[in-house]
This record gives sequence, structure tokens and C-alpha cells, in this order.
Amino acid sequence: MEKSYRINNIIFTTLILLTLFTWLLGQVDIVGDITKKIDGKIFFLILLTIAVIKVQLIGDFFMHLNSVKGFWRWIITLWVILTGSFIAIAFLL
Amino acid sequence: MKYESQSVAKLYFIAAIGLFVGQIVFGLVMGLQYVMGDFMFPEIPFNVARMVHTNLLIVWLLFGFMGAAYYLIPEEAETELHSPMLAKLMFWVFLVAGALTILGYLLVPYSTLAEMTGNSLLPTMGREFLEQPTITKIGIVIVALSFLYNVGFTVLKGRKTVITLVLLIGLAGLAIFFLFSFYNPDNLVKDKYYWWFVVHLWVEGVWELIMASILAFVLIKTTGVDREIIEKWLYIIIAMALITGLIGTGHHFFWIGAPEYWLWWGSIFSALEPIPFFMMTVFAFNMVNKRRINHPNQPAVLWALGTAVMAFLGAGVWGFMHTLAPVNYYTHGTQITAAHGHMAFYGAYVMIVLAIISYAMPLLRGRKACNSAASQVAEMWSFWLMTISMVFITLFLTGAGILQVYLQRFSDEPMSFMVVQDKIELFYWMREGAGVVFLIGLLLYVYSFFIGGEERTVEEKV
Amino acid sequence: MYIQETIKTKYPPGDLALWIFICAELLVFGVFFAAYAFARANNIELFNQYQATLNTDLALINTIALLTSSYFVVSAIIAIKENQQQKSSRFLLLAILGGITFLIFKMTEYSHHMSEGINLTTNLFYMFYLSLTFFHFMHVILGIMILLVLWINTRKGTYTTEEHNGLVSGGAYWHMVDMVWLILFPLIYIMR
Repeated sequence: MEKSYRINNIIFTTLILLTLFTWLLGQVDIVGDITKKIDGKIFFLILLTIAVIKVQLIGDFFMHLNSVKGFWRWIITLWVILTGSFIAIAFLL
Repeated sequence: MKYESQSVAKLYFIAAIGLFVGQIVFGLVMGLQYVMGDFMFPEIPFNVARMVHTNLLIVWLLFGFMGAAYYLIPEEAETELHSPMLAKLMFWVFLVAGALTILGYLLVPYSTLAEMTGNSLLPTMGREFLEQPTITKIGIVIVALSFLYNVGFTVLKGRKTVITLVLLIGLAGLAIFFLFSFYNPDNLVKDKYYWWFVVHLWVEGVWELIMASILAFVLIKTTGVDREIIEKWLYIIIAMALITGLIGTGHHFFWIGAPEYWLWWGSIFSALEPIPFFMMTVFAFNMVNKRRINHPNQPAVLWALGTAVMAFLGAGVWGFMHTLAPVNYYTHGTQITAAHGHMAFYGAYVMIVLAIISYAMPLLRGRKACNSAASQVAEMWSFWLMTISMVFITLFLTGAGILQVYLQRFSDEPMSFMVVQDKIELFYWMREGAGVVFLIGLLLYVYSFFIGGEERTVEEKV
Repeated sequence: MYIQETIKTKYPPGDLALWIFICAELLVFGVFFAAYAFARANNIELFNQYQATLNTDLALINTIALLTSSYFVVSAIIAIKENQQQKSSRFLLLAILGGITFLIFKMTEYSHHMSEGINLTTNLFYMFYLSLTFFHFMHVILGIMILLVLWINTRKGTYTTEEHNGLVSGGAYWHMVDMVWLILFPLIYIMR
């Protein structure tokens, strides 16, 4: 059970760090000077990837889908990939 | 039948089926008027036939719902009905009021009916589906209140189950939302709002709760699956029905002068209205697959599965087809709507009432479990005749609708309404043909009640 | 007990009916997100302009509040598995506090918008922003109510090491509410 707490702590810390990173990217003014060279689309892709990873972490470790096999194992993945794809299409095309 | 007082349901069921036949006859009259405009004119003009067709539908479904409640509530609450006398009295009040109203529609011009019934004192007449004279509306409220009082007190003194709870919420909602029909503002936008608060919140809101609870009851009885499992499904189905159904009202606010955001709200939430119906389909088939008994009343199981499938198709798929604002911009108020209306009402509400009648009627008539084999065969034939002809009615109307949308609203040189109506005549003829088959199916259904023979009685374990 | 955890199951932990409900909810949010993204694609300038008026710092605090709350729910379930009801109920209380924190900050944001006279009809961006966040807000309220029930049950000792299906199911719902926010936060506040 100690192990369960430890995994929980690791996942939680990762989620918080990823969130802080997301927020930090939001502080960067894409149109401003510093990042003129960075393409806005790359920013978007990084943000989306982080969001997808976070959702997957919640599904796998908080909802314990990593202990499931078959269709239900991938239910959250399926959702986040589908939703993410729609968002990506709308933002990139 | 476990409780003596359940027998009041029989009256309600018989009246429901009788009015159902009337509804279909007027449907056929009106279907013919689409292609022969002066058929039965001036005795029964189109607008009167339409009013009778839709009002009879609502009234007979209400009879069906009340009958269902009078049957299943004593059984669920495990106690006799609070007052069988009141239930019988209200039956006659409702039937007489309903019959007088229909006669009023048929015998005198609508404006005369309005004058005769003192509509000017509290004007509520003249709105689609809510055409009833004000005094009839008041009558409906009295009947609904006494009904709620009666079943409410039955539940209070007996066992409280999820099924009765959901059914009561549905029925109470039905009564409450009907009150909006008494408010008839001059402002046309407001008028439409309140009108939809009755019409939409009935058929895409509280009626779904009624449907889901009756379906759950029939499934518990015919499959022997644990109540606990069925109740859980019921919870998630009604939660989803309420989330999508209540906000989904917005799909009626697209073109009536409401703020623009309804285009989004209405589209998104009503696009999700198929979900609860889909859940009901999965639920019904799951329960039947997991059944612990083979109930000898096969038609009841067939109706229960049928209603789940047809409600999903009619209400879910055919509703989704034209619910998104960009699509509805073209299809609004065309035959597409009619196609959706026919299959949705048949699939969701007609079939669920027929399912509970099919299950309860043999018991109410003193049989052990079900009708004779011959009667069951006839009933199942009627199921297929009605269901398949309804599928065709829907398909023909959809065809007519698509053509209508194209010719009248989408093509480079749009034609006028009446010119287009001539062009789609063939579809109307085919629809009328399918309608005749439906009537034959319905008559066979009625006939199946009179087929005797030896009953099967045993419930086999799976 | 430990062996059980390594064997993979066919259905997710918790009640299957609830999982179907979660799927339906996710679908609703998914459709809403896609609608936002496509509406934005046609009004990029407008969306970027008004996105800049949102308070990203409050949104960050709220994200952390929800994540922390989810973390405590998981801890509560671990505690129950160890048969420590006291500890579990304390974790649940902390999870509820996390949810309430979210509500308070979100209401601060709303009152700020209201004082500026912003409503659903202001423009398309605010329509989406208000609709999406408010729809989520209602889910947080529902989630907190579920957590309250779980907390009361835990205090009553309803859940045990062997039987705590209700706790796991309610927890899964709360994680769903959290998960949706994890997409909503970057999508509405940051992506441009």
C-alpha cells in the first residue's frame, strides 16, 4: 500500500508540473518580440500534447484503467485522441 | 394481477386502444387530403382532421400512461390503490370531456367552439396541439391532479421504488408543464417560448422518464433480472435524458426571435439527445440477454425491445438528422419534421404503451401469465405490420421532405410551396398506402384480444 | 489482495452503469470543445482578442485545486483499502475543500465579468467561454454533492476493505470532472 501512495504522489507531482508548464507557455506572448521566431502552431501542439498526456495520466492512474484490459482499457484514450484531433484540425487547418 | 385495485387500469387501456383506432382513421383521412385536397370537404377540412389526429394521439397516450401507472404503482408499492373509486370517476370525466372536445372540433367551426366555451375569458385556444377549449384544459388539470393525488398517496403508504419515483417525477412534470398552456402572451416570441415549454418539455423531457420507468417495469417482470441492476440503468438514462432534453429545448429557439447563442446551445445539446435513447436500447437488449426466466408472454418482450429500437431510430436518429442549426435552416417545418414526428411518437410512446398493455392486459383479464399461443401469434403479426409500415411511412415522408427542401429552398430556382406539393405527390400516395397497412395491423392487434384458446402458464428458468 | 491488483479486469473499477454515464458526459464535453475550436477557426482575431482578457492565474489556481482534490480522492480509496476509515474520510473532506476552492475562484471570475456587463450575447467568444465554463461549473457542484455523500458514507463506515465500489464509482466521476477541466483550461485560456 505504501507503493500505492508513492505512485499517487509521483503522478500528482507530474500533473502539477505539467500544469505549471502549460500556464508558463500562456505567459509567453506569441506575438511579442522574444518568441517571434517560434511558430504559434508549435506552441499549440505542445499545449495539446501536454493536455492529452495529463488526461491519460488521470485515466490510467487515478481511474485505474491501467488495470483493465480490452475495450474499456482505452476508453479515455479514445476520447482524448478524438477530441484532441478535432481541436487540432480546427486550430491547424 | 396481485392487487384488486389494479383492475382500474383495464378501463384506461381499453379507452386508449379505442382512441388509437380513431387517431389512425383520421390520419388516413388527412393523408388522403394531401393528394385529394377536397376529400370530405366541407364536412372534415384538413385543419380539423389534423387537429383530431394529433389531439387523439395525445389523449390516448395520456390514457395509456395513466393506465400504466394505475397498474404498476400498486404492484410496485405493494399496496392497494389509494382510491379506486376516484380513478374510475376520473376515467369517465376524462373520457367524456375528451369525446365532447373531439365532437366540438368535428361538429362546429373552431371559432364557434371558442365562443361557445367562453375562450375570451381566458384565451388559450388556437395553438398547435393545444387547441383544446379552455374548459377542457381545466378539466385535464383536474383529472391530472386527482390522478397524482391518487397514485401519490398510494406510493406514500407503500413501498417506494426507483421505478415509482421516476414515474411520479415524470407524471408530475407532465402536469406542471401543461400549466404553461394557460399562458398565452401577445408577444409572438414569448408565445412560442411557452408553447415549447409544454410541447418540448413533454415529449423530449418528462415523457422520456415515464417511458423509461414503464420499460424498466416491463423488463423486471419479463426477464427476472435483479431490480438493483435495472434501477441503476434507470438512473443514468434519466440523468442523460434530462441534461440533453432540457437544454435541448434550444433547438426550437433557432428561428423564433431568441438570442443567437441558442443556435449553439440548441444544436449541441439536442445533438446529444439520442444518447439516452441509445442507452435504453443497450439496456433493453442487455436485460433480455441476461434474463433469468423465459416469460411466456412473448409479445410483451417483443414490444419492449421494439420500443427501445424504434425510439432510438425515430427520436434519436431522425431527430439528429435535422437538429443542427445549419441543417435546420433548410429543413425547418418540412416533411422531414413530419417523418421524425411519426416514427418518434410511434417508437417511443405508442410502443411503450402497447408494451405495458401487452404485459398487463392478460393479467387484468384474469389469465395466469399471458394469452393463448394463437392470440400471441396474431399480436406479433400486428407488431410487425404496424412497425414495418411505420418505417415505410417515415421513409416516404423523408423522401418527400428531402425533395421538398431541395425544390423549395435549396435549388437555384426555388419553386413555390404548392407547386412543390404537386411534385411530391407520389410520396404522399405511397405514405397513404403504408398507412392503410398500419390500420390493418392495428385492427389485427384489436382482434388478437378476442382470440381464445389454451394459455401457456409456465415461466421457465433459463 | 495484492495479487488481485495485478490481474487485469474486463471492466473498469467502479460501477459499469456509471462508466457509461461518464462516457456520455465526456461525449457532451467533446462535442462542445470541438464546436469551440471550429467556431474559433472562423473568428481567430476575435477569439485571440478576448481570450487575452481572461485571468489565466486564477485558472491556474483552479486547475491545481481540482488536481489536488482528485489526488485526495485517490488517497481516500487507498486508505479504505487499508481499512482506515478515519483517514479516508479526512482525505475526502480535503477533496471536497478542493472542489469548493474551485467554485469560489470561479465565482470571483464570474463576478468580475458580470461587473463588466459581459453576458452570453456579448460576442461569440464570451458565449463559448461562459457556456463551457458554466456547464463545467455545474458538474463541479454535482461532483461535490457526490463527494459529500461518499464522505458521509465513509464516516458511517459503509465502505470496507472488501466492499467500496460506491467510493470508487463516485471517485471516477470526480476524476472525469477534473479531466474535462484539464482540456478546457488550455483550450479556452491559453491556446491561440
